[in-house]
Parts: sequence; structure tokens; C-alpha cells
Amino acid sequence: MSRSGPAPSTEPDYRAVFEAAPSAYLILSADLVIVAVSEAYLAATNTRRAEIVGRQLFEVFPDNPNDPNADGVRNLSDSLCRVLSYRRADAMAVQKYDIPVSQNPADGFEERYWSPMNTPVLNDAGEVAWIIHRVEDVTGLVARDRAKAETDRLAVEQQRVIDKLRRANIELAQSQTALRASEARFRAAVESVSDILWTTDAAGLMVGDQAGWCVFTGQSRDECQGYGWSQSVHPDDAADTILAWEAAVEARRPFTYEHRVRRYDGVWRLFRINARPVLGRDGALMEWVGVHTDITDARRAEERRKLLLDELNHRVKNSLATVQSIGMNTLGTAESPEAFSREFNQRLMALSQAHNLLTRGDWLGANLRDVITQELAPHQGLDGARVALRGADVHLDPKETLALGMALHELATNAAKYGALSADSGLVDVMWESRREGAERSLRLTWIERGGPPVSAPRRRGFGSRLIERGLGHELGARAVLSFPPEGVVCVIDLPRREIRH
Amino acid sequence: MIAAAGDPRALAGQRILVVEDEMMLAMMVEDLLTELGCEVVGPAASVAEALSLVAQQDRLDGAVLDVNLGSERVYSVAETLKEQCVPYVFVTGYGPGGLEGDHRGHPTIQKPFRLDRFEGELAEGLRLARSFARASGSGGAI
Repeated sequence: MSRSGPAPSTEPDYRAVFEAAPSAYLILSADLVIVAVSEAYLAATNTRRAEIVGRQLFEVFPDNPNDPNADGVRNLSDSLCRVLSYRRADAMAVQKYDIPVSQNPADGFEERYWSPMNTPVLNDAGEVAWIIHRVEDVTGLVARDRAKAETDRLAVEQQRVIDKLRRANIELAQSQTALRASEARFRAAVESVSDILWTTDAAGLMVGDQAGWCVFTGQSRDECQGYGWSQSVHPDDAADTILAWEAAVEARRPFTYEHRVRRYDGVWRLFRINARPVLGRDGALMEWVGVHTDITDARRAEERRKLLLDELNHRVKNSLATVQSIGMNTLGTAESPEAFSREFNQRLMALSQAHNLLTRGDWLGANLRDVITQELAPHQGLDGARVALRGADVHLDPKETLALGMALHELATNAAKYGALSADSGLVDVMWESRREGAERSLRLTWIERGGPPVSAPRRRGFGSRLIERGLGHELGARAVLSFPPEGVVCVIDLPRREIRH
Repeated sequence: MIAAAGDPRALAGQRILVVEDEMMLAMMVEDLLTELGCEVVGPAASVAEALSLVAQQDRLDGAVLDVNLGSERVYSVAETLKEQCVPYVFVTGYGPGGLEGDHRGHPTIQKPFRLDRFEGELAEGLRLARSFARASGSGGAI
């Protein structure tokens, strides 16, 4: 460099300026020999000027032989070729280009990333005289980027793990819900199925899980072991059950029994037990398998059926005996076979109609007015004007309905045959009223006939009189007075009542 | 009436208690017994009425007891009669199997009655019951 010129003091020393530039520069000749280098470059590449100037670029900076993917030489060489060919600046992408730790390559390489830029310096002929190779060490940035990428990757991984955990948690919760649902289902099934299956060991001792028994009784697994189950058997049945069970186990014969078992809610249920020994292939007794079958409802239904059947039988037999009694009594008083047939049938019909009234009221009873109306109907025809009924609604129980029905039938037939209803002008008044004398309550029913043929007392008391005067008194505790004044028959019945219903 | 084997008027003059709640049946039993020459005590329609009648009697030779008296059973009347060594027969539609407890096997007349056998069944029933009562009274078991 010439330091001559008109103003040597103001002309910069370009070499000094270049070498002191804050960026890393390398000046290459067209044949890629290093001709100049900035201090920053030396610092960045850990080299000394004297060691590299005048040497081939790629001789100084070969690829890291330990990095099979190293492409620094190739990419830089391509870039420099482009600069030489096109005589234009060429910016390279961030390039990994490891540099030797020392001049001795055996010492190894240091990982580095660079952002290089190659710029041609043309001579007057327009040819590439020099190439300015500027680099920026971006190893730090790349490391940061890579750290960031790693952080991001870790974050993504972490998120994935969290998601996985969350899914697992949801699945767990779902399976727990499903488990609870299936437990509830199992419990409901065990509760609704009346059979409880259980097992014991060969010695007849309850062992292991007895889900059905535990769910039904509320006993725990431990509580039912051995003979613990007997704590859930009714105290009156437990001792006998154990004796019978021990006898069956001893004899190795099937066990059949009935006893009461306390349900988990404290309700006693009746069970039939069937158990039998289970033998192995070699004929050895392995265990006992038993079934408890809840027969509470079946037993109740059976008892109720028997009760109803007994009641039905009682009523049928009593009805037949009543018919027998009517037949005998009618036979004793009828004046002729024709009269017997007529009177017997009328009395049967009266009884039957009283039954009809009761059936209509579910056998709870009947209304007095309906009973009277029914018994008078065959005799007053369609014209109700000859019979006057006066009284409030009174409910009769079944016994009262049947007895009063029969009594009124006798009064009505007598009236039609001899009394007020035997003549066109006759009238019958039937009145009833509730009475109270002290604590005694009664119903007074009064039957008054008038306008019929003159009445005289019968020569002998017939079936009707006896039924009214004695029968009502007997069956209902009623006081009935039958009198025969000339104007017409009068009957007064006082019926004691526990309760007068309307 | 066809009489039972033996004394054709075995029941004549006997005082017989009748317990039967249904009036038509009570009337029939009353008639049947009257025809046999018996003196009818009652009929009573309830346990209370029957016990009251029993207490009033100086002499009872037998009793005809309907088992089902509506809401109550006649058994307590039977116990009382047994204590007093009065023979009795039950009357029921159930048959002998319809009796309860210790009363099972006691002489019974079925409803409805077999009229041709009523006297025989009653006489035989009361005779058996009397022998039961004697066995019981002498310390023997029934």
C-alpha cells in the first residue's frame, strides 16, 4: 500500500480499517486462496492470521469428518462458484459449518452455525478479482432456536401426556360409573330374583364370597362365614336349621328345609332351602351347593286361597242347609203339593234376590229401601201406589239383608194371600226410623196394612210368623211383634244397631 | 225318621243345647230335635249367648254346635261343655277335617243334613263324646 498522496493524514489505512471491522470478513482470491482476514473473523473462527492467509480456503476449513451430514464445504463452494459465474453477491442460508478446535484436526471440531454472504469485487475488466466472504456466527441463535424447538416439542409432548392422563381419568370415571351401575344392577337383580345361591365347603361351613346371601341379608363376607349365616335366620328357626343341616352334611344327603331369613332392611321372609352335595370325579365330596327360594308371597297366596275356599265352602254348605230348612218348613205348613211347590220356589227366589243385592254391593251390604222394594215387587205389580215407603237411607250388613229380606218376603206373601194386597182397595205402609234410647241405637221398621179384608189371628203360627218373631230375634237380636187387628196386619221390628250408616 | 241302632228313642226327653247363628238353620235343627222328642235349649246365635245359656241350665244332656258363627268360632263353648262333661257334636260344612287343633276327630254332623241319618249321627256322636269325656275325666288321654 502506498502512503504517498496529497493528504496522507486523511487517507484511511484500508488494511487497518478492514482488519478492525466489527464483522467477520475474509477476502478470497478468485482461486479461493485466503488473502486477507478481519480480526473479528479470526476471533470467530479461533484462528490466527499468519496461519491462514495464503492458504486455500477449504484446506483451512474442511468439513467436520465426524459429521456424516456435513455439507459446509459443498454449499460454500457452490455459493462461491455462483459468485464467480454470475459476478453477483450470493447470500447463503444458515449453514452448519463446524470449525477445528485447533490447527490440528485431530483435536476435533466445534459445532457452529453461520449466516454467510459472498460478494464479488470486480476489476476494471469486469472480472471477479476478489470475493468478500462475510460470515455471522449465529450458533447462539440456532441454539436458542433449537432450545425453543426442544421446549416446544417438550410442551407438545407434555400436552400429549396431559391429554392422555385426562382421557385416562375420564375413562376411569366412566368405568367407575359403569361399575357402580353394574353393582346397582346386580343388587337389583339379586333383590328381584327370589333365589339365593350359596355354597359351603365339604364340611358344611360357608366359605368365600356369598354375594347373593350377603346382598339379601346385609351381612358382610366375614359375618356369614362358617355358621355366621345363622345370625340372619329367625331365632326360632336357627337352632333347628343347624341341627337339620348338620344331619344332612353328616349323611351326605340332599337338604330340604324352610325357615325365615331377615332381609337387609329387617323384614322377615320365608324361604324354602334345597341343597345337595357336589361330588368330584373320584366320588369325593367337594362342596355343597344350596338355593334359598323366597316363598313368602306364594305361601301367603296359598293361605289366602285356602281361606277363601273354606269361606266359600262354608257359605255354600250353609246355603244348601238353608234351602233344606226352607224345604222342610214349607213342607210342614203347605196345604197341598201345588202350594208347597209355589211357596218353596217363592222363598228360594226371595233368598236368591237378597243374594243378588249383596253381590251388587260386593257383599258389604245393601240399602234397606232396595230390600223392601225387591221383596214387594212381585206383589204390587207396576202400580207402586198401593205401597208407601217412608224412611231415610239405611245401610244393612249382609246378615241383616238376608234375614230382613226373608222376613219381608213372608210379610209380602201373606199380604198378597190374605191381607191388604189381596183386595184392590188395600194399602201397605212401610216406615222406618232410627231411634236412640240412652246408649242403645236401633232401627224401628213398621209394617201396617189397611183396607184389606177383615183380619183374624191365624189358627196356628206358620213358618212366616215363626221366622219373623223368633228368627229375627235369634239371628239379629231384633225384637219383632206381629199383631192381627181386624183393620190389617201390623208388624213392628226393632233392630239393634251398632252404627247407623247413611 | 229311621232311628239309630239300639234304642229307637235314645234322644227322647234329652235337653239339647243348639248353637247356630243362621236363623233358618237354627229353626231346622230345633224342628229336627223337637221331632226326636228332645227339649231344645236355645238356639243361641253367638258364643256369649251360648255360654250364658249353659250357665243357666241345671241339666244339659248334650249340645249341637255350629262351628262357624260368623266372625267367631264355637270352640270356647265346646271347652266349657267338656269341663262340665256335657257331650256335644259339631255341625259344620267343612267335614271332620275342618275342625281346629285338639277338636280334630271330634264327632261331627255335616251340613246340609242327611235327614235319614240325623238321629243316628247325633245319638252316636253324643255317645262317643260322652265316652271321650269319661276317658278325660278319669285321667286318660283323648
